Amino acid sequence: MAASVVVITRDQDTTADLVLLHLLRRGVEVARFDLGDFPERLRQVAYLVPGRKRWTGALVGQHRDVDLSAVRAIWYRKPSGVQLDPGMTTTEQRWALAEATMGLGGLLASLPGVHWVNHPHRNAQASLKPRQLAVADACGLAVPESLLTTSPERAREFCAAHRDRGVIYKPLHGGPGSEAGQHVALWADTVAAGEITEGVGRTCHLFQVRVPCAYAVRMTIVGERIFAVRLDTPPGSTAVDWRQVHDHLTYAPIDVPDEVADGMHRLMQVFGLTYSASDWIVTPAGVWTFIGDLNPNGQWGWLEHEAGMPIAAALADELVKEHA
Amino acid sequence: MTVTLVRPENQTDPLTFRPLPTTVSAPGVSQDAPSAGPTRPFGLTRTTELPQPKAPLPLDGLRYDPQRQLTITRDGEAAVSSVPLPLAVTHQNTQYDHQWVTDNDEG
Repeated sequence: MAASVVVITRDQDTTADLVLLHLLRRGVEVARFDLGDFPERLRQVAYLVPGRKRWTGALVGQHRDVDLSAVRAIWYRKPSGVQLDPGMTTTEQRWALAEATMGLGGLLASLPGVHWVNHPHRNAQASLKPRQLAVADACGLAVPESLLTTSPERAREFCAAHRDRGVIYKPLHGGPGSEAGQHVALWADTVAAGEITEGVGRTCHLFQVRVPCAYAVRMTIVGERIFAVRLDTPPGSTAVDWRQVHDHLTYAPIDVPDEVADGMHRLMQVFGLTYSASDWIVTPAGVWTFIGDLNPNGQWGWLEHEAGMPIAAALADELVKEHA
Repeated sequence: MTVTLVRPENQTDPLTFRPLPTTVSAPGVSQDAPSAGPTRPFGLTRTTELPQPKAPLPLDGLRYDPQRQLTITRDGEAAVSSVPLPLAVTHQNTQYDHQWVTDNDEG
């Protein structure tokens, strides 16, 4: 029987294994592959016959094939990169890489009636923090007052104007990973006017008025289902970003207020997402605040482990359910 | 002078249109020394040096089974249901997960 569900991720992605187990136990035909298999170990043979209005054919693997006509759902998780013949020159590899990603990516994007969790193009749009914050505000969700600037003067003014509550600097994409031979992190953290340098002018910088934090929440959404987990930092911790004290967090499932759930479903609809793993701050007054971390392909496996959230089963449900 | 570097990890460049975005599980370590004074982007003045990654955990007997499409133990059981998989951590992003490889991608 041809696979109806395709999972695209690394072989070593054991989080994906959790969902694969659910699918296999239900008798669902699944084809899993990594982009690292393409194009040398996963061959593409697709035809567009005029009048048929869709590409037909197959991705031919070493262990199984993907019949393009049978695919109903694709879970695009965390694949590694296309692996090219190392015998090619750098020029050849650059060209071949572009052709491979445009060819396979274009083919998959063109398949009609496929339910994506999530389509990578939508993930790309949903990863843009400035857009996340504006859409969240438009969807009725609480967001912090924010400044996106290349102006050191405006950054200092913003920090000075909000010094009573404090200001957070956070990167728009993430940290550099490493520098000067060391692994480095770039967490969200407080910043004062006197700390602002002319280096703000070197690129875009995002500043936000600090949201008073009673506790943080990671809200994982799969289709219509919401799995929210309260994250508490250890007593006495001054960490602004809970990733700083990851090993010492405590977890508890928590209900999401109806108005927040409604707003998030609207936001998911705007971005065309089926899945997200957003981060929230809940104030001492109980206001749930979206801080601009939607994480459209964020991790969830550790929450299933720590808080008993049945996210793997929900993802399996989403991949097999009938979609209009 | 502007120098454009083309590296394999550019597949993760967020500014490039990527029909098939990918992640790098073990990126190289940059040897670039930070710029001085106002050349240094403000955001990068806020980085925190991290301890060296934890030593690899012993994973003897675990392998990916392409037939079953799962990682399995030496006994042929699905690793996620039969082994208390270690929780590997990366300090860079919110990606603490059921994985024994450090996951350096976003989110």
